Amino acid sequence: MANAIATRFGGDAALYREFAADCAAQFALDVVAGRAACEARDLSRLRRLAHDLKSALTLLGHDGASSLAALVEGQAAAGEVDSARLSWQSLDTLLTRLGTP
Amino acid sequence: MTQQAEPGTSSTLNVLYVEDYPPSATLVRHTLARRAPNIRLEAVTTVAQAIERLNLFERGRDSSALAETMRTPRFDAVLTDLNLPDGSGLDILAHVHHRRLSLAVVVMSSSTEEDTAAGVLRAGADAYLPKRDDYLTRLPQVLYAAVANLAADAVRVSNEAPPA
Repeated sequence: MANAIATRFGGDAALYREFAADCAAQFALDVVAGRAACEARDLSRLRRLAHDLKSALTLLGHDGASSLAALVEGQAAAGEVDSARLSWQSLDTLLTRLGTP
Repeated sequence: MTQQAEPGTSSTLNVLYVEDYPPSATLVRHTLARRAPNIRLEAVTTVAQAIERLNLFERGRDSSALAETMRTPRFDAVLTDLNLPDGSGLDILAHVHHRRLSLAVVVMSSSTEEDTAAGVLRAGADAYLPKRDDYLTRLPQVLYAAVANLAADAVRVSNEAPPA
């Protein structure tokens, strides 16, 4: 996290903490939205959600989770329903963990 | 951490900010409040809302609509995410160009595709800012530079115009 604060937040740890708190609250909503998109096989919605998550997770310094979000985004964009849903399950687990105080 | 406003960011800029992901919108608002408090954001979340707001801005240019103008802050720039729920930041850019609005347009995206930046700039954006690394630190300067460049271009075009 220290690296993310230094490189992406100009050393402003308070700003990072505020963003992390906002993201934790948002991730809980995103998990629900992602599950609904998977259930409905709504790849457009899943792609957009994964795109937003990729950006937020990168900023937070969660590079592994960000890569997973990028994978979901790519699979959803390519119309790979089953792969995207499977990858989402892994991302869902990570997000649930990150969204838990 | 309390920070001083950055050099070159002392003049007031009014910016229409288009971003639908709440944490990202809050982050940009807080960043600018700390680093460039003279940049004032009005935030919307969709292409449709942005265009509706720009139409108000455009009507506000009409001197006969003085009352509306007084209620409607003038914008110097649009700062928009590329991916929006009902379209693209490029749709907003196209609207600004089509209506010949004198606004700098800065597009941000977390896209990792190499041709995204080229495509955005080819479409006529004044700047493209990828959402990675130190983009938050760079944001105030990018906005000020885009507005300054647009103003310089307007002066150049004015000077090149043949006398009436």
